[in-house]
Amino acid sequence: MGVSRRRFLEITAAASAVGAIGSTRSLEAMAAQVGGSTKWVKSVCRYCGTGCGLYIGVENGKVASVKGDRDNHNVGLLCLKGFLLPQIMGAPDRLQHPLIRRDGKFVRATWDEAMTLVAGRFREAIDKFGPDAVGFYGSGQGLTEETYVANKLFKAGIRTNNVEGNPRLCMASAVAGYVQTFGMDEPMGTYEDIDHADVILLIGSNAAEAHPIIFQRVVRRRENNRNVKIVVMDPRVTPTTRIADLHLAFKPGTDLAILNAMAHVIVKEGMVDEDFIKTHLVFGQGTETDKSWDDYKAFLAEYAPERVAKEAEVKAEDIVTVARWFGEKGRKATSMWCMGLNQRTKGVWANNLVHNLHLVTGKIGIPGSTPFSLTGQPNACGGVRDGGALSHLLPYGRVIANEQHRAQMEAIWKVPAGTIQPKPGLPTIDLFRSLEEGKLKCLYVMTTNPGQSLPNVNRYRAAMRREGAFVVVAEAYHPTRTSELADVVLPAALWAEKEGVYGCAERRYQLLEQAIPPLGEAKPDMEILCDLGRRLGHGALVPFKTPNDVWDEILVACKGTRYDFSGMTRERLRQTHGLFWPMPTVGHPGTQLRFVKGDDPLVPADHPYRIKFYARPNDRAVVWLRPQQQAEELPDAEYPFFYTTGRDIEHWHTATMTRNVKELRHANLESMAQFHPKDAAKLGIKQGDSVKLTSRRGEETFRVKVTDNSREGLIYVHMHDPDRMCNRLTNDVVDPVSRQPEFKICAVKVAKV
Amino acid sequence: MIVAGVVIETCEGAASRVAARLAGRPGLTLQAGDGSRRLAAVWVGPDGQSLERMGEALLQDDQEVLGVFPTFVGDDSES
Repeated sequence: MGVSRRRFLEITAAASAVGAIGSTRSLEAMAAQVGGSTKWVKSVCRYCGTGCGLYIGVENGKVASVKGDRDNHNVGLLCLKGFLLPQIMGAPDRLQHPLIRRDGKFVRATWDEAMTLVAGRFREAIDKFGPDAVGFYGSGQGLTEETYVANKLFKAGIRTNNVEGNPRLCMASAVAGYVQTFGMDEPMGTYEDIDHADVILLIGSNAAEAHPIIFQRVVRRRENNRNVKIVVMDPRVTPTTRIADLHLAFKPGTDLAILNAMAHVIVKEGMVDEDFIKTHLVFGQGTETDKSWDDYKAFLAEYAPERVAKEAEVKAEDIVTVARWFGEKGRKATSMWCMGLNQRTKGVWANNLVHNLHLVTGKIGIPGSTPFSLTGQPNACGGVRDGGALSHLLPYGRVIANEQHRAQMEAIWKVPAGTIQPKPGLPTIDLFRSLEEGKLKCLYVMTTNPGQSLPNVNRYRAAMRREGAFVVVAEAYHPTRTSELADVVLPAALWAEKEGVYGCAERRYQLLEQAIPPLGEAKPDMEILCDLGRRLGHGALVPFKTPNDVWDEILVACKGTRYDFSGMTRERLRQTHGLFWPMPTVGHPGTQLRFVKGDDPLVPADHPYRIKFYARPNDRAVVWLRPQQQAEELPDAEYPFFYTTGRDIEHWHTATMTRNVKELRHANLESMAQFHPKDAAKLGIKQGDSVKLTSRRGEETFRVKVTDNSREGLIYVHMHDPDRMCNRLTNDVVDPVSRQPEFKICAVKVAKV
Repeated sequence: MIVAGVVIETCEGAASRVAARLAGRPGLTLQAGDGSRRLAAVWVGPDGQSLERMGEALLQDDQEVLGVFPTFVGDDSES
C-alpha cells in the first residue's frame, strides 16, 4: 500500500475524531486513501449500561481495534475503557479449556468430562432433594439469548425458580420503584431527554466516572444552553459535581428527607400541576393506594427545608433553590440516579420519592422531562430485567406469582400446565444463604463474580466452599475470586466471540455481531446451557442451534405484552443502530416516550389525555408517602465512620476484564481508603499509610488517600480491586421489597497498620 | 506508541481560543473544529496512561476545556 502502520493509524484517528465532531469530511473517503485490511464488525461496548455503539476492527482473525459508532446515540464517542477493549480478548488469564477440581487442585478436563460431572451432580441433587436444591446465578452482562435459555431451562425444565443474577445487586430497587409507581419497569424516556432538559438532577450517581458518555451529553446540553441547571446530590465531591450549579453534599442516608423537602417546597409554592394530579394520579402509603392529595400535603408538612437541612447537614436555602429549579413551570426536568439510591435498604422508597417530584409537577412524558434510572450493566434492560430471569419473574412483565402469567409461559414453552412452580425462588442473598445452610446443593454461576461482588463477601465465599456444595462457574477468565472457589470452571466465549442482543439503559436493544471465533475451547454460554439441558433430559426445551433461534422464540414470548417488540426482527437489528421497545410490528419506528399518546403504540389514539399510565389500575400512577428512614447500620462509638463503596472511571465491576488492559491496570486498580483531611489528622494518618478498616462483618487493609472529596466522617473505597476486597466490610442487609443489599452505607472503625 | 483520535469539548465559543493555546503542544495535532465548542485532534504518545494523563492535564490546565474523549485508539507496534 505504501502507507506505514503509523500513518494508517494517524489517518484513522484523525478521521474518527473529525467524524465525531460532525465534520463533512467522510471517514470512508479518508480510509479509502490508505485502503486497509481491517474488517469492521458492528457491536456494543462490553462495559456499562450506557450501551455505546462501536465497531470491532478485526485483522488477521484477531480483534485489533475498536471505533465508536457515529450513527448510534454515542455519536462515535467512547470512553477509554471502551477503546481499550481489544486487550481483554487475548489476555493471559483467558480460560481456554474446562477445569475440574480434584484433591483441592484444578486439573484440565475435556468438555465431556466436565459436563458429565456437572450434569451428574445436578441430577443427583434434584433426584435426592428436589429441584429447589439447585440454582442459577447469572448477570446483566449475559446476552439476552443466553439468559433466556438459562431461565427456561431452570424454571420449565428443572422446575426451580431459583434463578437469580447480579442485577439484584444493582437495579432491583429501581425496578421496584418503577413498578410500584408506574405499574411496570424501565425508564419511559431516553437519553434524548438530556438534550431538552432545563434542569438535570443527578442523585446517587457519579455519571462522570460510571457513565462518561452520558455525562458528556449532559455537559453538551449545559454548554448549549446557559439557562440549564445541573444539580448533583451526593455526599462526596466527584468529577460529576464539578459541573454542578448546586452540589448538595448531604449526610449519607438523609436523601429521602431532602426529596420530601423538595416536594414540600414545590407544593407550598404552587409549582404543582393540579389538572395532572386530578386526572393521572393516586396517592398511597405502605402498599395501599388509599391516601389523598390532602393526605400527601399533610405528610409533607413534616419536611420543611429548615428542619431537613439540619438532619441532612446541608443548607435549607439550597434545598429550596433545587426545588424551585425543578418545579418552576415551563422548565423541563430530568432526573438521573444510580447505585447511590438503589443499594440501600430504603432504595425502593428513594426511587418512589424521585418519581413523586415528576408526578406532582406533571414533568413527565415530555421531551426533557423524565425520571431516568441510569442503572445497568451492558444488558441493562434486556436479559435479566425484561427477560424475567429473577426468582420472582417470568419474561416480559410476567410474574411467577400470577397463575395466568405462568400459564402463558407454559404455553409458549410448550410444557404441561403446572410445570412452573407457583412459589417464587430465592433472591440473591437468600440463595447464597441457602448454599450456606446446605439446602442449596448445586449452583451454576455465569458471567459474574459473586466471590468478590457480594456484600459481606467472606460469609458467601465460605458458603461456596462449604462441604457438600457444588459450584459451577462459566467464565472467560481464570482465576477470578469466584472461579477459585469453584468445583468446575467452564471456559466461556467472550464479547466479540459470540452473537447476541444487549438492551441498554434507555430500552434500546442492539445486536452484537460475532467478530472472531471463541478462543481455544471456549464456547458461548448459550451452547453450554443447551448442552447441560440435553444432559439433564431437557433437550426438547432447548433445541436452539443459534442465538437467532432463541430470538425467534423471544419475539413470541414478548408478543402481546406491554414490552411487545415482536417487530424487532434479527434483520432489523442487524441493519440498525438499536431499536426501542415497544415495537409491536416490523414497520413500527420504536417508542421514544412510553405512556405518551402518539408515541407509544399501546396508548390509543383517542385517549383523552396526553399520557396513559396503562400498567396501573385506572391508568393512574402512584405518589407514595414514604418517610425518611436511615440506613440499617450507622456509625456509633465503636464503629465511628460511615463507609461507602463505588466505581471509578478506569475499571468495571470486579476488574476481571479491565485488569487485563495495561493502561487501566496501572491506573487506579488498587482500592485506596479515601479520608477527609480532618479525619486523617485526627487519626494521625497520612497519604500512603496502611490502615485496617473493620466493620461488624469483616476487615480489609487499604492504603490511605487523603482528599477533601470525602465528607468528614465518610470513608470511600472503590469496588474494583480483587486483592483488597471492599465487600468484606459491606452490609448484606436488604431492602424488604427489592431484596437489594445496602452496599452504600455501613459503619467501620479504623486502625493504623 | 499509541495513536489516538480525540475530541476536545470546550465551553461554548471557546474552541478557537483553546485551539490557539493547544497549538504546538507536544504529541497533539489539531485536525479540525466545529467553530464553536469541539476540536478534533490526533494524539501520539508512549502508552494509554500518558493519553489519560494528557487528558487530565488539559482539564486541569485549561478552564475552558470540559472534556477530552478518545474516538479511536490504535497501537503502533506490529506485534
